[in-house]
Amino acid sequence: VTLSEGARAGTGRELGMLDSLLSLGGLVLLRDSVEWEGRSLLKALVKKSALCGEQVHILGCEVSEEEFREGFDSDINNRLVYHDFFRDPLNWSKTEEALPGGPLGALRAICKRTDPGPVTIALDSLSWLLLHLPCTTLCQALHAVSHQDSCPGDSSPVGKVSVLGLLHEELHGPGPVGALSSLAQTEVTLGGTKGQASAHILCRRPRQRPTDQTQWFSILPDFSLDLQEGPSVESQPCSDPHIPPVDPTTHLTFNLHLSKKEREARDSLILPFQFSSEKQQALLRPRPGQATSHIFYEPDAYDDLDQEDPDDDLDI
Amino acid sequence: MAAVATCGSGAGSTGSAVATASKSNVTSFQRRGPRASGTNDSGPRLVSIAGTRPSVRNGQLLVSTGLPALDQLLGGGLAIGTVLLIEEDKYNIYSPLLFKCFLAEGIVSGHTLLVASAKEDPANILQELPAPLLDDNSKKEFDEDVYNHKTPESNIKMKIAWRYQLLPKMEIGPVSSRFGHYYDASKRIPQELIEASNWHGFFLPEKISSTLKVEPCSLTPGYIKLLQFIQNIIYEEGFDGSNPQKKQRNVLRIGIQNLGSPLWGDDICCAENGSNSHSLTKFLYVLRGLLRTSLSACIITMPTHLIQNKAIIARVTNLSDIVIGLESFIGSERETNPLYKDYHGLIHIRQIPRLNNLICDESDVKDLAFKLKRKLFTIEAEVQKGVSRATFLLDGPRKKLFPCLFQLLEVACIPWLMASSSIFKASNIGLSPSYVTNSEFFSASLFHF
Repeated sequence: VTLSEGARAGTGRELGMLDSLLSLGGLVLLRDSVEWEGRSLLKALVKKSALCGEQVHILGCEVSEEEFREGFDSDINNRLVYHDFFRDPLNWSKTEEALPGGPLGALRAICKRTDPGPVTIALDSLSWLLLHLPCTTLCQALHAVSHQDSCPGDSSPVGKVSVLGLLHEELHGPGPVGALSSLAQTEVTLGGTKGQASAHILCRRPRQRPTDQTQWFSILPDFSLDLQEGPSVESQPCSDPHIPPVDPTTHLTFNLHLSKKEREARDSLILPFQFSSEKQQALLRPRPGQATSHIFYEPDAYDDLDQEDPDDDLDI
Repeated sequence: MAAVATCGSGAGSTGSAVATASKSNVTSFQRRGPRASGTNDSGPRLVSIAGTRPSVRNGQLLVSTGLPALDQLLGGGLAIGTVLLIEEDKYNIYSPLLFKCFLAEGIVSGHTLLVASAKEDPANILQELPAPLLDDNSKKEFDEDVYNHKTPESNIKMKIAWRYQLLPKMEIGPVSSRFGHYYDASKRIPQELIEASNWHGFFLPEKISSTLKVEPCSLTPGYIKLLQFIQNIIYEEGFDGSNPQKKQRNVLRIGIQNLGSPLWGDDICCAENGSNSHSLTKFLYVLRGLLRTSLSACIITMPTHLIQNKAIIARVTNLSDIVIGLESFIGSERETNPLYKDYHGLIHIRQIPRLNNLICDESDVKDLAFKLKRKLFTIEAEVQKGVSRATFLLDGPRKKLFPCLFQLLEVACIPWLMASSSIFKASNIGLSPSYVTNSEFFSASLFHF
């Protein structure tokens, strides 16, 4: 991550992770559902990256090209490179401009062709690809595409590739969705309440803890992103201040608490095996050169300090 | 002596029999059969390979896993010829650390490495290995790091059991410089160590070029290639004894990352009843056969939380020798649980093998938690500080650990019970010599009787 990207990501974190999704690179998974659709967010992100000057490729499989380009102004439309797989997915018309290898071939061709500079690839939808291709092949292709720039020994400076994939999570079981989420660098789950859309963003950096954030937003008619503060309902607090923490000492059949008098009595109890503190420390940390054991003598109350040997009185 | 004369008909044994009989007049028994090495020494030569040691319990040759605490839990280390399977945590943060410690231990001990991955280039994996703490200064640093965070509170707490306040929470056996090293997770291994080591990498996207037609119920092409690669390395470098000229035997450490994920071409994470649902189990079976016939040990990390068919997880567990599950607290409700606030996750030891034994070597401690400190990855028994620790023990039907027992007795103030249990501890589990040979300690214990 170069300094500028890091700075961009840093300020992005203050504004909201939604703004800085594309700067992290890798696979960004947009999970939507029937209630909260994700294509408008996809188009908003495509517009943002086109305005930043990146190369944008669209693999359109689910909707027609006219429908996808609707709402964009002409200069953005001129910057988008659209690969259409909606009109003729199996290439029955056998025209020359059809790319060999289907959508995956197109993906690989985009990566091979790339000039230095960041590239954003939008997959219109990953669900369509999952239904038409084996999941493992798709995962391998996505991994190859999104990790292309991560070889440190590579001499040619290939630009960072971001892949935006739209996934309708209700169409698939937990298996493919789990497999794709484990591959994704960022996962955006769309939801919301009361007419206000939210994006729960989970960001996995390679060897760090994942960070997550919920961002409320709305999409304006010209597909620019408007970040908002959420409605006043708070998200679940991690520690509820009203419920005290569970005290395990409450329901026992014996008493583990000491009253103040009992505690004083216990502290003043002379233990039968009492040491001075320096003896204690010496025993706790044995010095390395200490082969023999030392004798510490501390007389207690009953000791007689008389040096005279009582056996001297014996008359043998 | 009469026996020597009568059994002289054995081919080649007469001369040697007479020779040995005259050399050592102690016994009239002599060894029959040709000697493998052809040298003059009598008796078997012990295989002494750097970085290995025989197990004290059953003589099995062990290698270190890279984490001395984990070695202790597994009964000394990982036996050669076995598979250590690590079930990854959900966000795959901590299992790569164990994987890398295993490989780093191989580099430090001079073993040959074989790293296989479908996700990252093995050369990149090797660049990110943690640096070993090799000299004594670092060992002292580690000891202080372990002790310092305990003594301020424990000095106040323990009035009766003060001798045990410096005991580490987990018994880490003596770490000799040749078996088991500590690693600093914040530093990278020095480049010259990597270059001096002998390693082989297997990166799946480079080996598999096109999509092949796969028949059902057979191995996926990725697995076939990996097995062939491993077999070639074992055969060419003589780990299975096929090159008798090799003087210096060595151990091959195999590390396979993210086995079973879709990047290997296996669809057990994607579908519940895929077309190749037996591919992974067959792979493990063949791999185990390769390992048992060679001097190698293998670590595999597997994203079992993604596997859809739970029966496959059970089969995979049965086909591996040691299975350890990592469960991190990130994103789960346990993250905010005050009991777990010091730790980053739990370690579940799901299976330990019975190798040439009737019983397996499990440790007494069952609640294990791990935490990744700034430098070190430590595994500890899950114990919480404070008085509530004592009561927490009592309501759970779990096995207790001795330091917890000492805390409980502190609370209940029963000094006489202390002495008997402390002697029991000294004799049962081998403590460090400073406790056992201190003559004053024994005289004091006798005082209580």
